[in-house]
Amino acid sequence: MHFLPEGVELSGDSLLTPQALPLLSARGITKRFGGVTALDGVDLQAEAGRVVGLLGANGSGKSTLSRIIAGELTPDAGTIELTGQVIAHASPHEAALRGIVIAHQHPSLAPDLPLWENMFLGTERTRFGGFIDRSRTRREAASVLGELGATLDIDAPAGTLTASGQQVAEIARALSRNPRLLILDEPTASLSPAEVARLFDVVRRLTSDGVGIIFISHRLAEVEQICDRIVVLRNGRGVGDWATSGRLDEARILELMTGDPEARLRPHIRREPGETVLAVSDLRVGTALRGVNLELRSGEIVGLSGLQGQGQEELLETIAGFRRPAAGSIVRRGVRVSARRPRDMIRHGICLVPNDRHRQGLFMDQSVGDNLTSVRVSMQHRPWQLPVAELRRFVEQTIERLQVKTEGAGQNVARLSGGNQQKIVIGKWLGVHAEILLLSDPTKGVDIHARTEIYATLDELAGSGTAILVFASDVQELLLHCDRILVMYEGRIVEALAGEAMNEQRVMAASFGRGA
Amino acid sequence: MSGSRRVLLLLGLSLALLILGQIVLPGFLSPTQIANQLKIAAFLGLFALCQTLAMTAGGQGLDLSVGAVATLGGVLSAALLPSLGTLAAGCCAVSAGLLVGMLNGAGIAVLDVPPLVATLALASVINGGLIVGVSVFAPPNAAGPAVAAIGGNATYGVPNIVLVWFAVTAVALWLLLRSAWGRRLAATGSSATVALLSGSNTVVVRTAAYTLSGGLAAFTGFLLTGYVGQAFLGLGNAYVLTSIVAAAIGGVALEGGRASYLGVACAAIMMTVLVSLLTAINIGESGRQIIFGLTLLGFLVVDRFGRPTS
Amino acid sequence: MFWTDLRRSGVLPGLAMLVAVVALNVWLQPHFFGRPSLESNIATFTPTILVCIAQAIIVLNRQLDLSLGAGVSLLNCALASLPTDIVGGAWTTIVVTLLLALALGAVNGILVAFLGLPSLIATFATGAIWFGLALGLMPQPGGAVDPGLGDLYGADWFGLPVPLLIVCVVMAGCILLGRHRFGRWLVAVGSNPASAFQAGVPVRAATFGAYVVAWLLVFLSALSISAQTLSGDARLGQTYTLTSVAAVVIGGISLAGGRGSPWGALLGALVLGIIANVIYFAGIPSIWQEFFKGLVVMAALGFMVFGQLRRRMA
Repeated sequence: MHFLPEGVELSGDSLLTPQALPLLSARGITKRFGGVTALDGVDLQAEAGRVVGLLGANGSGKSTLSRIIAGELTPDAGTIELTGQVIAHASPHEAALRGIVIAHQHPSLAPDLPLWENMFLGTERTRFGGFIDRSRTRREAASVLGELGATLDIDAPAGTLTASGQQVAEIARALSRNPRLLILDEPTASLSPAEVARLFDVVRRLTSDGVGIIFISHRLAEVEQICDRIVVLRNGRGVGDWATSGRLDEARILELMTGDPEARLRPHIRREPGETVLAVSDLRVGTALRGVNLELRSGEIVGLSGLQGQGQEELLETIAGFRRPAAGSIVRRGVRVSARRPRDMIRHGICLVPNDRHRQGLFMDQSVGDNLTSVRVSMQHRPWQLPVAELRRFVEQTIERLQVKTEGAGQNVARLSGGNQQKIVIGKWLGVHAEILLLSDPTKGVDIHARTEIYATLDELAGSGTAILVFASDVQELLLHCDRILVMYEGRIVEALAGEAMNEQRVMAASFGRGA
Repeated sequence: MSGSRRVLLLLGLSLALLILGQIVLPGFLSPTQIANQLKIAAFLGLFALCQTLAMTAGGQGLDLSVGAVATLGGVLSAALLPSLGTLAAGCCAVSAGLLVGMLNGAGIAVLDVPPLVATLALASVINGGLIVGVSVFAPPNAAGPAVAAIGGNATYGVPNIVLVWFAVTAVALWLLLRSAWGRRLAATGSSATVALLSGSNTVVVRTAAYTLSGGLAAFTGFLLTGYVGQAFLGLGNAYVLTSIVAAAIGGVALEGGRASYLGVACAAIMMTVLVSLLTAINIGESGRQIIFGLTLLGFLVVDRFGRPTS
Repeated sequence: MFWTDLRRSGVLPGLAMLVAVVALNVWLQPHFFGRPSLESNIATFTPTILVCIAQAIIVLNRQLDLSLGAGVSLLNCALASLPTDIVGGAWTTIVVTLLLALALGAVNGILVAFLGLPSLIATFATGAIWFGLALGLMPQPGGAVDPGLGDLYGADWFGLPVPLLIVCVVMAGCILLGRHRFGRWLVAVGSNPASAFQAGVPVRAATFGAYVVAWLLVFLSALSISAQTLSGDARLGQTYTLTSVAAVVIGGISLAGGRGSPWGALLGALVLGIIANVIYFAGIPSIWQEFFKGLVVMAALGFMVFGQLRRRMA
């Protein structure tokens, strides 16, 4: 039997139900990074033909655990057995040869190589001693993509794919290796509901073929839908392991994951919005935005919803001055504004928390303090000065205010968890009096605790008059925190919902282009 | 390797080389010798500052045109000296350098030309143009007495050029570490996209870095004529690649981002001492090149494996 | 499909440049396409072409090798100073030089791939070492290369001049390499080393291999130039390094790795070689040559930049 903290009982199947040996049995996995214990004696079992969901906040160790199973890291202690045989991977490649494959949360593809080559990199179909069998490889690539329902050009350089395309490509790559055990790490983060549905079809097909799946996700609805059992981690330890039998006790899971009953999703406080601070009319950008109209009032939180890739990112980037609109106007407090770069919009008080925090939001080689002060330093009027003391005070205040878990202002930001990194990206803007704050999927890959804290901060800002426009792929989040929701479909806002009309059914309908 | 450790290592190494030189060749450690070496190190250090600016700006930045621009500065100032006087001639030289730097910056920051290529192309145009210009116009090339004084003389035993270097170092340290612009430069080098989204005008920042580099190179060429006594073609050529090496040994990352000039200044000193030691013990150019290469490699290896998180 | 591939390979600006300079050359030298002129050109250009292709292979891997020029000099001095009256005669000398070339490449490969040193500075250091060694072998230009090599180089095989054959064989080799797993690994590592590592590509072996393959070409280049000068000179290869970088850029190969093809380097080398011709045939006094060469490189850059800009606008 394994660990269980007090008060948590097993329900449903016990793991010791007599049956064939589990496909994968990880026992007592311990991993330390320097002085930090990421995993402390964690057990995980995956069975052939079943899906086990791995849940936990960032810092819970689930990423570390899956990476160990996939051969990217070696554990300090513990054993891994594959159908009863003890194994130790020397590399991800070796793990893949044993049939253990992981589809990463952040796909890393070679941008200049065509998609079909990326998919088979390292597992090239060759003949005559190493020469690539192009026709066979391309056929296989096309077939795997077809199964996922993706209409991607296999010859297109991977760098030209959208985030959702890259995610699909990553999953396709994992599938093409014919895994016995497939680990899907946040596979649906960038996918549209239609693609998620196809993915789940593929998952069901795989399980019926006897493949075992480890499914990592923050989206409880999906976990409920696809998983046969779930394992919950917190702070590097297992805190729950039971079969789901089709329904999740979300409150209990949240409680287990955070250990903090207050971490439940807070009920929404209705605000009285002020005057109109931003008016966008007929904004057009290429094929991504086909005439968007919206208004923002001070003190309100407006949500942007819809399927992935309908123009939400582009809309926020354009308002922020990161993209040039082909047509349309952006009016701030009655004055038309245009920008050649984000700096111009920032001067008008329009600030963007971008979509990709690693590539757009943070200087990964710099400290927490440097990152937090980067906007103030960029925008200050006298470039020859550096008000060191003032900046230091701002950093301390902001770390405190946003509850950033860090060793200190001098810690390199790359070492923070996703949620804390996101807080830094948001915290940057707290020093420049953002009148309009745009956020592009700020809670992607962020644990539930940090999400709650982030939305608390947004509530605070709205309370003091900031107008907030936030795009989130999680509709539940928007329903809970926003005053109104705008649904985007194919580059336009097709539905504006508020009050009673703001419910999931209306949002879903509008997301598919079927509105009132 | 942390910044302060690097400084200590470089200074320690310089000291060790000086002592070694004294043992092998008595008289190596005399005040005049040290003063001479510091003078040469000063010039190398100034060129290495040009590289520091370019490299910190990111995108595999470097400035291969520092030699050509230095020559331009020297030739131009010497040519204009008789008619305009030292100060005005010097200003013209620096202005020319600033202009060239701006062209570099525009090509690199606006047109996205790789720095290696942009600065190389400009260097060949300038070198070529100088050859033509000098042969066509045959301008005067003597360094004025004022410049010669800076380049050659000393104040209270410290060579003037070294004093100039100290002053420039102080300005550089403040600019890179203690000014908002320096932070913006490091930010732009760390990630141009993030810097842009954080409100920087990355184009202006990078162009400014290369402009400063050009101006400084021309200024150093101007001073070089004082040290040498006259302006001549190829004045700055020897410094191009050595300045990059000094910056690298001094700890500036080629990818861009955070940098400090102090390590670079010490690297300039260490390299100068090494080269003069090798020259003094009469190792032929063959041996000098090999030892130079091996030393650089040694530093790279130490750097690579000295990092705690490799 | 073909046109998309062509566009994506980035060689179009270089190709356009080549057409332009060839046209200029023909205008200045009407007999450009005559056999003696073509043969003379290819014989002269081949050493540069080979070094440029060598650089291309390394750049595609997201590295740089600034020691190529010094390497050519060192190999040239080796060829010129090794005694030819030993067992096997000139062939032994050639084999020894080949082994030396591969060793030089291996050293660079070890430093960059296995020790993880930054290639620009590391190869700058090794370049100084190769140069020093070359000077040690041959402090003054001299020595003697077996004249048989010169005869071989100037001969015609199967109706084609040997230099042309060399280039054809090398390009065929490049095509084969591009079809082989190893060649694709090389490019994949240049495009995204992290992704290649996760996919199980032996990243360090790929980079090491890139250097060794490149230095095979450096060896051929040294043979080609030695066959023409028939003597050794430690400063022979000085201009090759930066020429190879310029050629790579003109040929549309990205210095960030992963993008472009060796054909681009061939184009770039030809463009630079023919520009030298143009300067000569235009009767530009030698004093203006440096200036014009610089201007022409800038023009090539400008062409390339506008091509890039137009691609971005699309």
